[in-house]
Amino acid sequence: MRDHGGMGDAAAPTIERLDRPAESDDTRPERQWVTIVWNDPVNLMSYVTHVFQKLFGYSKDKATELMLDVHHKGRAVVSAGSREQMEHDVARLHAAGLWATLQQD
Amino acid sequence: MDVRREAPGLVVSLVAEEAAIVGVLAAQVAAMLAEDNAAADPDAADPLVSLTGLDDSAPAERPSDPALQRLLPDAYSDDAEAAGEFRRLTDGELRREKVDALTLLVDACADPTDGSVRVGLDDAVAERWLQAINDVRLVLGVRLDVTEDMSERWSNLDPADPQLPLLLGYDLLSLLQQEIIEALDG
Repeated sequence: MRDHGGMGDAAAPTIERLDRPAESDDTRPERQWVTIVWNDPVNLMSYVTHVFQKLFGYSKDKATELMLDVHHKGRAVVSAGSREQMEHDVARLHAAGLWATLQQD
Repeated sequence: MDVRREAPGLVVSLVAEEAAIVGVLAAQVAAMLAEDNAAADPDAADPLVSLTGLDDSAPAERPSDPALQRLLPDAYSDDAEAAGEFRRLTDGELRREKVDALTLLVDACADPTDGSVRVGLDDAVAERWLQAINDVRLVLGVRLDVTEDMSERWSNLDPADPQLPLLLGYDLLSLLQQEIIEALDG
């Protein structure tokens, strides 16, 4: 749950503008960026899994789960963070030959 | 073809015919990447560009060839301006990285002795091979209109099909890639 402080003081003015519903448990100040990998008919499932492990240090199970998401749903979010971090991830995925894009979540 | 774990790396063995196919296809993809953009050739590039990997003098355009589009995709699907800026900053370096990896593959396949190529790869070079093999597969995949299920295509092969050599090359590279991954991860 998001904590705005001022607990017990119902009269405190709210000066913070929320970009998400108050019930969100997201405490980040801004919408984060995500890296998306898209399905394509050429990349081997084993290769995609291998790349996720290599680039992100994911376990075999986690990498396989993401690969299957890409395969079955057509796309999967493989990392999240700052815009700069996601541009770095996308560049490394392009070097590996995966079809990746970044966008704001 | 044989790929096996021999500490501290891998040993890949290809018969001369396999090495010739892999080498020729990798050289063609490297040439596509280099010819399409002279910045990929360090000899032709501004020394500062070679040093920094950034080429602001020649804004990189999205390639017109669908195969190159697949090797050098847009980083933003919903923002053409951001995609163009990202490409301008990264295109030269990405091409060079791909050409370097493809050249490793070309060189390794260039000198069969006694009818075969036997090459030892440390894990880092094996990763570069995977990248290069994958880039060749991506290009062939576009040229051949590869789909997820190729079983029908394989069962209806026409010996006179002009695409048959490329299909066989694609299949060979798929097998080689799979064997390297299994040897690395196994």
